[in-house]
Amino acid sequence: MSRRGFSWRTMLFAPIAIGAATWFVTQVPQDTSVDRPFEIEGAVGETVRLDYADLAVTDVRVAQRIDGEGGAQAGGVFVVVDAVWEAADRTLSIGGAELVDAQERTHAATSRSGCATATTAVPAYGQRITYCFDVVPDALDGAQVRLGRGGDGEDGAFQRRDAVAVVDLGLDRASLEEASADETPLWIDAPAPVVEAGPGGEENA
Amino acid sequence: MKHARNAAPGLLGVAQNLFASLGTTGKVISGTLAAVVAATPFGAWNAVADDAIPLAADATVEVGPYEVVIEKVVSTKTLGDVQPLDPADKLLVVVAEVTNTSDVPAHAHQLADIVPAPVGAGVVDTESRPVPDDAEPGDRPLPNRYNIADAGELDVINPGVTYRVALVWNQDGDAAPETVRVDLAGLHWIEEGFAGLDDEYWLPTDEVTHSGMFDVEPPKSQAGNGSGSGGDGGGADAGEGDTGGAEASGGTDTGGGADDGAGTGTGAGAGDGAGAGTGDDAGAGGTASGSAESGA
Repeated sequence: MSRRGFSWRTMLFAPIAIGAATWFVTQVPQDTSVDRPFEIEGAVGETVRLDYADLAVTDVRVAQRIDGEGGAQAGGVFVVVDAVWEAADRTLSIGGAELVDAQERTHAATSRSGCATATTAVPAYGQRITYCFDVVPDALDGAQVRLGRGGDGEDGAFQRRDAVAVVDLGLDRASLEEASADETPLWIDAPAPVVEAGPGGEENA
Repeated sequence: MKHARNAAPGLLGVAQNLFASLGTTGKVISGTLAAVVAATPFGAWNAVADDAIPLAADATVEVGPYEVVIEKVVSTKTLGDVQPLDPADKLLVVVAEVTNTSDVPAHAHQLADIVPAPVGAGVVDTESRPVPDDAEPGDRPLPNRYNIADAGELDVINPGVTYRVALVWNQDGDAAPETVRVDLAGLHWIEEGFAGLDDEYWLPTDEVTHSGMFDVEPPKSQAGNGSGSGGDGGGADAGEGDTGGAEASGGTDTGGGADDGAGTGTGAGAGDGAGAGTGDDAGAGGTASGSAESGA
C-alpha cells in the first residue's frame, strides 16, 4: 500500500483549483438571477394569477384623510388600494404589501385607520381588504404595488424565488388634485369575504 | 501524592508562568492589554455625552434615515385622552418634526430609539419609578409616539414624508424643571448581518450623538375639557399654538379610535371614561367628541 504524500502537482494545482472555484462563485449574480422574486404584472381590474393565489386590485383611490377605525391625516397623501385575494389550494398568510414609485423608492402600507397590511387568503372565495400607503405626492406618478405572500422585510428575504404581483396603479398628478379638492375622509371598509368566488366578485358575504 | 507536582498547571498556572517569564516591558504591555480587554464589556469604547453635537430648538439634524427637528418640550397634565398612569403624575412631551430622507420605509418605533427620555425632567417609568439622570439611553423608558395631525399612533414613515409627532413620557407629579436635556441617540446601518441572516436594517447604538438644553413649557389650566366637539380638551396643554388645528381635526375624526379604548404605555385613552376595550392607537384622540362617542 502506497504511503506517498501529496505530489508536487497536487500542491501546485489544488490551490489554483480552489481559487478558480471561489472566483466562479463570486461571479454568480445572486442578487438578481437567484434571489429575485418572480414578478407577475397586472393592472387595476385584472386578475393576477400567482401559483399560490389569485389577486385582483379592484379600485385605487387617493385621499388626504381616511376614516375607519379612527381617522387619519396623511403626512403626504394616502393611496388607498382595494384588493381581493383568493388562495389557490390552501389557507395562507399574505404578508407582502409595498408601493414602488417611478424613482424606485419603496413605501410600506400603514395600519392606521383600520387599513390592512396583511391578510389571510382562503380557497373557494375571495377576501377583500384595503391597503393604504401614506406617500409624498411625487410618488404617485408611475406608482405600482407589489403584493405577495412573503413579507417585505428590509432586504426582501421573504420573497426570494417566490411569486409577487406587480400592479400598475395608473396614478398621476391629476389624481392628487382630485384628492385635494375633496376634503371628505375616505371610508376604509373592514376586511370581508366576497360572495362570488374569485377575485373581482362584487358582492360581499 | 507523589506525582502531584507533575500535574497539569491549568490555564491560570500557564498564564502565571508565562507572565513570570516575561521581561518588564512585556509585563507592562501584557498588563495594559489585559486591562483594555477587561474594560471592553463595560463600555470602555462607548461615546460619551461630551462628544455629542450641540442640539437646539428648531435645528435640523440627521439621525439614521431621519431628519429630526426638536421643536419644544412641554409638561402637561393630559394630552387629549392620554393621561399619566398615576393620576398624581404628569406627562412630559417632546414635540418634534421627523422626515424620512431615505428611499425605503422607516419604522416609527425607531423614534423611540433615537429620542431617549430627556434628562433632568423627573421622568418615571411605567411603574412610577424615577429614572436616574445618568441612565444610558438604552436604559431609559420608551415614549409613546403620536402623530399630532390626527392624534393617532404612527407605525411607518415612508420616504420623504414629514410628520409632526408628540413623544410622551410619564413625569413625576412634583417635578417642575425649567430646563431639561434632550439627547438624540444614533442608529447604525447594518448592510449585512452575521451570516447574512438579517440584513439591511438600522440598529440602535444607544450612543448620544446630539444633546442640548431645552426650556420646559409648564402645565396650563384644563379649561374647556370635555365639552362639545371642538376637541380643545386635554390636548391643549401640549399642543397649544399652532397645533390647535391638529387637535381640532383629531376631535372630529378620532372618535372611532377612542372606541378602541385604553391603549398602552403611558395610559393612552384613559379619557375614554367608559373604559371600552383596549388598543394601541386609541386614546390620543384627546377630544371631547371622541370621548363622548366611546362613552356611549
